[in-house]
Amino acid sequence: MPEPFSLPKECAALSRRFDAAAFAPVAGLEDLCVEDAVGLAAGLGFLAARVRSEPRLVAFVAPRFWFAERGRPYAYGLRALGIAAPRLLVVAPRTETEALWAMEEILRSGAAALAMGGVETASLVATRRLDLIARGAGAAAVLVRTKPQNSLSAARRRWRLTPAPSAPHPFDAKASGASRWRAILDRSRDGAHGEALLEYDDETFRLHLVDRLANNGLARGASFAA
Amino acid sequence: MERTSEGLILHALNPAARALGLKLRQSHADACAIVPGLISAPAERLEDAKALRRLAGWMERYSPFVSLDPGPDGLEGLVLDLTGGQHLFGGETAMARAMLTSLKGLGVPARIGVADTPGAAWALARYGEAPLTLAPEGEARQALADLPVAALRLDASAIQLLNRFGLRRIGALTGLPRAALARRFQDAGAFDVLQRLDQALGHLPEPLSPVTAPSVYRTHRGFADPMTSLDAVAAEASALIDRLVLCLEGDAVGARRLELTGFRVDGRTTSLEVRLSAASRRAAHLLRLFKDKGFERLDLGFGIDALALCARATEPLHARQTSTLADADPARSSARDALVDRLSARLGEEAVLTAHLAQSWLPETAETLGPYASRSEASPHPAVGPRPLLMFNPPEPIEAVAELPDGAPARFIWRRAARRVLRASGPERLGPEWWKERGARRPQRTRDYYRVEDEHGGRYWVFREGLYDSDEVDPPPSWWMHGLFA
Repeated sequence: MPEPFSLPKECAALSRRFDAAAFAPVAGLEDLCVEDAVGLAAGLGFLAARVRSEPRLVAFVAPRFWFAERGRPYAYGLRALGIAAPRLLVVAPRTETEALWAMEEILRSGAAALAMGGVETASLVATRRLDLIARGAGAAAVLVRTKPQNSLSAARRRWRLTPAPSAPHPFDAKASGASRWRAILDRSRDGAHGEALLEYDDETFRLHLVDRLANNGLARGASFAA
Repeated sequence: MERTSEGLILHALNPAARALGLKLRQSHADACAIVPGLISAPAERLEDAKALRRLAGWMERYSPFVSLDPGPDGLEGLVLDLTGGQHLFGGETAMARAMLTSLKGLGVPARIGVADTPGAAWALARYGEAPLTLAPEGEARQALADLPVAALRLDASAIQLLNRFGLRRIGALTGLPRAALARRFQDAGAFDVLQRLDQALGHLPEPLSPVTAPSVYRTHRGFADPMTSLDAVAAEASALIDRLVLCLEGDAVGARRLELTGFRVDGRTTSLEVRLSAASRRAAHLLRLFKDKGFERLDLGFGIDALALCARATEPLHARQTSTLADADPARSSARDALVDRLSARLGEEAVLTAHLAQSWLPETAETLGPYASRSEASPHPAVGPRPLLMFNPPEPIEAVAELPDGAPARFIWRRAARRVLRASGPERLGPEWWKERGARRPQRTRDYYRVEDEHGGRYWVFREGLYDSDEVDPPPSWWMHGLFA
C-alpha cells in the first residue's frame, strides 16, 4: 500500500521522531556545544535534569583552569535540580589528557550516572573510547565544547544549548520564572533532529516542551520525566 | 672545619688526619700549625643531618624502630631497637655483623655496640675496643666497668670534675654510694651524672623517638640478589600485599594509607605511598592502587635487596554481609570508593573533590570543594534562597547601574560585555557573620543578593556589598557576580 504522501528526501530526516525519547539520556557519548559560561550553566542544568532520577554519582571532570574560568558546580544549586550533595564528584586534574583518563575511569567503574568532561581537544579515537566505555557501563558521557571543533567526534548526539528568557513568574511580573533553554539536536546517529524550547519545572523535576507539541502533535502539553 | 664563637674549629676528621695527631674541636689555626698542608672543607651540618636521616630510613630493614642519636655530639649515631627481631637475622651477633658488613659495603665507617639500654650501647659503640662490641643480656654493668666516664654522655665540665676526683672509669662510679655521689655534685652536674648512670644501667627509662613511627602492620621481605626490574618489584609487592591483607583481616581492620619501601643497595630508600578514601583490605584493589600510582615512580638505582610494606594508617573494618535482596547499595558505595581511590592515587587527593558543607550563611563558606576522601556526612544548612548551579569563587567584580540605590541593577558589565537586566528578584540579604570575623582579612559587609535575567535569558546571581543608607564610613557599595543559574 503506498504511503498517503511522501516528503522530499531532505525533509525525511526532520520527520523522524523528535520527542520525549530524544531527550532521555542514552548510554554513550554526547557532545554539548555551548557558547560561554552562561550557556554552560544552561547546559549543566539540562544534563543534570536528565540524570536526576538515578542514584549514582554525577561527575564533572575538567582541567583546573576550566573550572576557574567558568565557575565550579555548586551542590546547593544542584539540589534545586533534584541532585543531592553526596552525589557530586568534581575531578580537577592538571591537563586535558588526565581529564580524559579520569572520565574513562569514572565511566568504567559503573559508579557514575553521568561523566561530564570539559575537554576541548579530544581526538576521534578518544571520543570513540569514551563512547564504548560509556555504553558498556550504561552511563552518559558528555563532552562540553565551547569552541568550534577541528577533529571529528564519535558522539552519538550533538546538542546545542542556549539559555532562553524564562517563563513568566506566576506571582511576580518582574521576577523570572521557570528556567527555559533552547535545545537544538543537530546531529544524531538514530536520525532524530530538531529544535525545542524546554522548560524545567523545579517542583516536579520534569522537562516540558514549550513552543511545540510533543510526540509530533499527538498530545497537547505533554511532558516527560527527566 | 666549622665556624663557631671560638673561631674556626675542626668538626670532623678522616683517618689520615687522625693519624697525624689532629683532634676534634681543635682550632683550625693550631691544626694548620701542626700540619702545614692541611686540606679542610667547611662543615655542612644540614647535609650531614640529611645523610643520616637517609641512612636511618635504610636501617629500617633491620628494625622498624630507628631513631637518631639524641646525644650531645651532634649527628653521627643511630639507635635501633632490636627487641624481638634478632632471630630473623640469626641472633644478635650475626645481625650486628651483617649490619657492619653492609654498612662497610656502603662506604660508611661504623661501630656497633649492642646492649640492654641505649645508654650502654652508646658507650660500647664509641669506647668499646672492637668495632663490634656486644654486652650479653644483663651484663651491662660489667661491660661498662672499664670504659672511661666520658662514655656516659656527660658534658665536659662534669667529666673534668669526675677526673679531678680520680673517677676515671665507670666501674669506679658504680661502686660509690649514690648519696655520696649526689653530694659531691651539688650543682647542676649531679643530676646529670646520676641520671646518665641510671640510664646506662637500665634503672631509668630512656624514651626514644623513631624517625618514622613504626606501624603495627608491616610485612618485609629480603632478597638474595638486588632486584632492578620493576616487574619483579610489582610481583613481590603483590606477595607482600597478600601477606599484609591476612594480618589486617585477622584484626578486622582496613588500611587507609599504605607505604611500600624499597631498600636500595647503595644505602638509600625509595618509597611509594597510596591513600584510600575508605578503609579497605582487598588485595586486588590495593595492588591496583599501587599500579595506578605507578611502580615506575620507585627509583631502584642499582637495585633493591629488601622490600617492606607498611599500613601507616588503619581503621576498623568489619566484614559486611551483602544483601540477598535487590538493594545494591553496598556494592555501589564500594565501587564509588574504589573509583575515588584510583583517581586520587593517580591525580592526587586535591584533584578529586566533592562538596564539603558547613554551617554558614555565606555561600562560599557554606559549601567548599574539598577532597572526596575527607568528606563528612554533615547535614546541609537549610539554604533559604535560590542558589546558582555554577559559582565563581572569588566573586568577580562587575560594573552595575541600579535605578534605585537599594534596588536591583538595571544594567551591568561583566567580562567586558554589557548586559541589560529585564527581570530581577530579590534581595536576599545576608549579614556578615560577626561571630566568625576574628582573624578575617577585611571586615565583612552586608550583602544583598539579586537573581537577575538579561535579554538573552542568561540568569545571574549578583550581589551588592554594603548598604547605601548605613552610617558606616566604609567605601561605597560595590557589585559582584557570584554565580550563574541554569
